[in-house]
Amino acid sequence: MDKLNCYVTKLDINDASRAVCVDDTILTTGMYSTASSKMLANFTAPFEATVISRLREDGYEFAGKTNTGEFGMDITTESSFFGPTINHLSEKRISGGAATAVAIGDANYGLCVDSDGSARRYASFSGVSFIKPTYGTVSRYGVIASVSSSEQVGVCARTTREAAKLLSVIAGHDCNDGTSLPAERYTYDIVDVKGMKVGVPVQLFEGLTDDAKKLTSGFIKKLETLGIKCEEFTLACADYASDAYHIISSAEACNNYSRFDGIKFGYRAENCEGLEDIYIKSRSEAFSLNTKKIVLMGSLSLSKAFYEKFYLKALKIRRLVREEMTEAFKKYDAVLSPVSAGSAYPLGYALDNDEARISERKYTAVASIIGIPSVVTQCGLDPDGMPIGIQLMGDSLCDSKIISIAAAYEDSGR
Amino acid sequence: MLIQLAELNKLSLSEVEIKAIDKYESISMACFESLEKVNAEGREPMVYNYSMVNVFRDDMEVKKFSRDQILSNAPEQYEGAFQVPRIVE
Repeated sequence: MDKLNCYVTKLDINDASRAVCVDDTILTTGMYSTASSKMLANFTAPFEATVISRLREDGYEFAGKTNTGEFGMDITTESSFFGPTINHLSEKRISGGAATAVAIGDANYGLCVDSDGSARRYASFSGVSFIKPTYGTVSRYGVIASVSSSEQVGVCARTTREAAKLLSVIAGHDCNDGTSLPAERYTYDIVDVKGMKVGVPVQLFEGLTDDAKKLTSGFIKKLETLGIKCEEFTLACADYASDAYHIISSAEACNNYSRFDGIKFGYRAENCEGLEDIYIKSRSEAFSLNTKKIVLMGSLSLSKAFYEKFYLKALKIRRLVREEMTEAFKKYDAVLSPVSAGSAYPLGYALDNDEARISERKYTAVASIIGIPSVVTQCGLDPDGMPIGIQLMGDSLCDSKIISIAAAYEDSGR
Repeated sequence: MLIQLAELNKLSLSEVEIKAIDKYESISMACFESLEKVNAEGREPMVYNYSMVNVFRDDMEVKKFSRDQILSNAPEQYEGAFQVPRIVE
């Protein structure tokens, strides 16, 4: 019984310790891959993602396909065609399918696609750890594309060490993915964190709930007891990375979703009069309101009138963010940031709350827009018993440093 | 503007959707406009996170999927092809 609505497809497993649940935005054969959308509700892929093949070859089994927001493009799972995933700690709060399945022990690992930070938020809301690796280190072949330039398959698990273990199985060059980096394999060795420096950007700690402020302060103090020096600094790009990412992500998603036309695969509306009618009715009936908003804003920013003003400007700002973060990583081994303003959102919170949907992305946009690695771990519980997570961002290909900091923190008893 | 964009994207919107998207557009435009004050003078647009190079491979035919596999998800098919309504009278 899937009372929490974690799964789109649930499978029988023999051993939860070797079991992986997989976001339904990742292609698998022999079962549906729906991306939590009505558009793909009956879609069975003719091939499987590279990450799935690698896990299968290494003897892992699959616990099921898990629920996300439609196409993985919402801050909550409420835009899913299959309804929201309920947080395992409160029936009035939401989370994501894979993070919940890991939190309740259905599977030891979850494979989640992180583009706008949703996978990081769900890990935070469910009290599990999550690694979003450096862009290009894990193959995207077989991931249902939304934001091609930033989405990355990551791993959630009960601990960062466990997540890193699975990550080392799936990471490495894939000739089927043109954006895959060249190294054949990546290892995530745990290194000594004593003497490391962590930057704390003041802008990203504004707007937090009082509970989140208290818990994140406690986290910083704990890092200092581990011999890590934490230092506040000003990160200008934190003020605009989210808005630039809003443009880039909408534009790319708009293009990627143009493939859904009701002809070759996916939903086709009934009683259509001609080809144009198939396109319009199929897309209009199958896409959620959230996806329609994304498509239209993407189309707007790519239009002749706004292409240079918005889209090209956003791409230039992406370079500014890269430059500023490169400077930051000359001083710091990691940069700390909240994942969300507080604990898990109440049910219905984001349905008609576009302001929140946009403002929440400020915490996750920096890592998304330039593809740097990020590790989510837990600060503690708020007075309602709900977890609040925090993320450590690292420089590209320096995943081991932030994994080591999170692991040292978790080893110390949190 | 919204209706024109919807037409271009092959979307038909209900009154409720138009109202919701209109609101979303206003909020989004405020975000987009706010980027005007960011000085990105002299920066090249950064499409991908790294300097990407073209990935070449030998020009060899690779048959990964059978016709049946490709058509297995077709909403409608006819004699081994995707079927659509008549478009030429």
